[in-house]
Amino acid sequence: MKVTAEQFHRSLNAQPLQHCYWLSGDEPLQVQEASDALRQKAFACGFGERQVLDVNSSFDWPYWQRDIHSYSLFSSQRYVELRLQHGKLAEPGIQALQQYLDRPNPEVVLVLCSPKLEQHAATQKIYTRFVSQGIVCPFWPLERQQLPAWFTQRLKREDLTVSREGLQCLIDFTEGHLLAANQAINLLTLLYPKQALSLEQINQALVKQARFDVFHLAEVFLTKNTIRYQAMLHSLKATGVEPVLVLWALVKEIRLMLQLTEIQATGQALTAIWPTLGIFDKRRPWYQTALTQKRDWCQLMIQAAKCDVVIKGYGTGDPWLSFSRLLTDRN
Amino acid sequence: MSSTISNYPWQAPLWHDFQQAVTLNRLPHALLLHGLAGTGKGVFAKAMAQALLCEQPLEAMACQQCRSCHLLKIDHHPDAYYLQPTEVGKGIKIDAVRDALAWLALSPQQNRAKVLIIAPLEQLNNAAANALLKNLEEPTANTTLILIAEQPALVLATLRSRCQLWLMPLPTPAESQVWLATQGVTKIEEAWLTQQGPLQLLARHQAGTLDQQQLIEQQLDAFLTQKLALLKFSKSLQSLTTSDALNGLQVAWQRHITLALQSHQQALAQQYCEQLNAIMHLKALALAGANLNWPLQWDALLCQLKP
Repeated sequence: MKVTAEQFHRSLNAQPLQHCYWLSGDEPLQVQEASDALRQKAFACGFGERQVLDVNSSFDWPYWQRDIHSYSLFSSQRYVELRLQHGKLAEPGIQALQQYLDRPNPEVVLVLCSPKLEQHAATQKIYTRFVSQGIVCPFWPLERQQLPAWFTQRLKREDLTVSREGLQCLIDFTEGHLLAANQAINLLTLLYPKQALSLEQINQALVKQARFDVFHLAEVFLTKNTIRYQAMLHSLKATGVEPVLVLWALVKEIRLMLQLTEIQATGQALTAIWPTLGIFDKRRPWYQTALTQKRDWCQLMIQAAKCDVVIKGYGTGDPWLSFSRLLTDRN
Repeated sequence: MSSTISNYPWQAPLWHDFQQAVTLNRLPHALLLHGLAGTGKGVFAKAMAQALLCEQPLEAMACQQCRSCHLLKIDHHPDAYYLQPTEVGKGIKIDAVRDALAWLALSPQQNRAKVLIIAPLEQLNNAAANALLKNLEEPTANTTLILIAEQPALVLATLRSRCQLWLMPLPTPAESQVWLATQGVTKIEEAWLTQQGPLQLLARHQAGTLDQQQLIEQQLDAFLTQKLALLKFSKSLQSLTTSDALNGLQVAWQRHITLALQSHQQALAQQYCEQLNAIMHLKALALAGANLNWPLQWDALLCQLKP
């Protein structure tokens, strides 16, 4: 059965343990918490031994196959956790797991933890076997809009309360980095147990740990959210992202906007255009906002080309500063 | 006159200068041969090298018979060194320059002189140019450095000032047309002949890319009258080689300037001139071997040219 993160946690206590689980997602905290909960449940059900195996390219699958069917010395029931390095299994792994699933050991709970599934991995036969015989749960990174609810729920569990500004501050400090967010809550619980937190207390206790990648830039660049744009650039620079990548992400949006304004000028309806340009529902409002702003996209393109020249070492200046200026200058 | 040089009549005056300089023993230790692409600078440089290294030259002319001349013909002469980018668009690195300088320090193996040819000089990066500078300031004996550049303005000024500048002239459009006709190329517009040498036009004729010029001009007209979308035009420019596309745009743009001037539209002509600057700036970057994001550069350039 394929379940969402919420369903997974809800059903865990209600349903008996399954033979096999596959937890996948790029946000380590989510996968970690899910496997923790699963493990606790398994221990409560009498699974006395736990094996954790890291699967890399030299993993000995035949040995594992023999091992999984043998009896344990220490406990009658075993909890076996396989941690995959990639979001896709290689052929030997697929073979071994398929043979195991043909004849699973009733004394074993098998849990696969992996990063986000790679392309086509979800259509692999082995994945569908997990879906039909066990529980599969993909975890998706939380969007910024989902964070307030996430924080509120956690804070409530620890008997902490925050003002709206405090919540905003927590989000700004830890966006895109759930592990840091969780740590922040733990830290606040230790420092100010069961209190109403003030903005100063939060400010003093936390350091900025927000993480972004270049794909986050699109929204703030298009909707012209200057403050968030600058914060993201700062964070990207600090994490050592190459300026070329940032420029690539920005130019992609400028080019799309050029196309959109051209289409708009011809009087064509935009609704028919979105799919042909590969713009998903979620992103459309950003472009619509950008279209109403009447920015000079040509000028932005010219500036971006200058950034390129600077990055390649044929002009003077700092590329990061040029990126900042893309939003601050008249545009 | 050397047989290769006689193929290119526009090079005759410069060759005469060279002969005189050699007979009077006034050849500079470093000469910077510059001129537009396709004027045969490389061929000229090689002919000079051949004349300088020949065992029995006659009036500063290679005999084409001796061992030295034969070795040079097959590019195996130990006293001639070609310094050029190992890969197109990768530039000449400082390590390559250091190898060449180490070679310069040795004495000649075959005969009295050594010749180092560097082309294209624009592609020396700053560090490499500076490494070369010391040798230009204190040249080794019996050595001639022949440096080749399309735009000497792009070469490090300190380096340029140590060389004698020799301009390879562009033949007049009429001369070019006559010469190209002997090579079997007839359909040539005069405007094209003012921006590139006949050898480049011949090469493009042989590669079958000569009609691209017309294509660019047609598309540019369509673009300026808003019949062709910017991004579509940019896509089609991407499919050409960088230098072809830039040359094409330059020629077309110069034609626009002339037309504007002829119809007494001073303001328009001035605007065109400023836009031509943007084209020339990109051309300079391309000559210097800059590894730019060309799709982006085309988009931006067209944004600048947009009516």
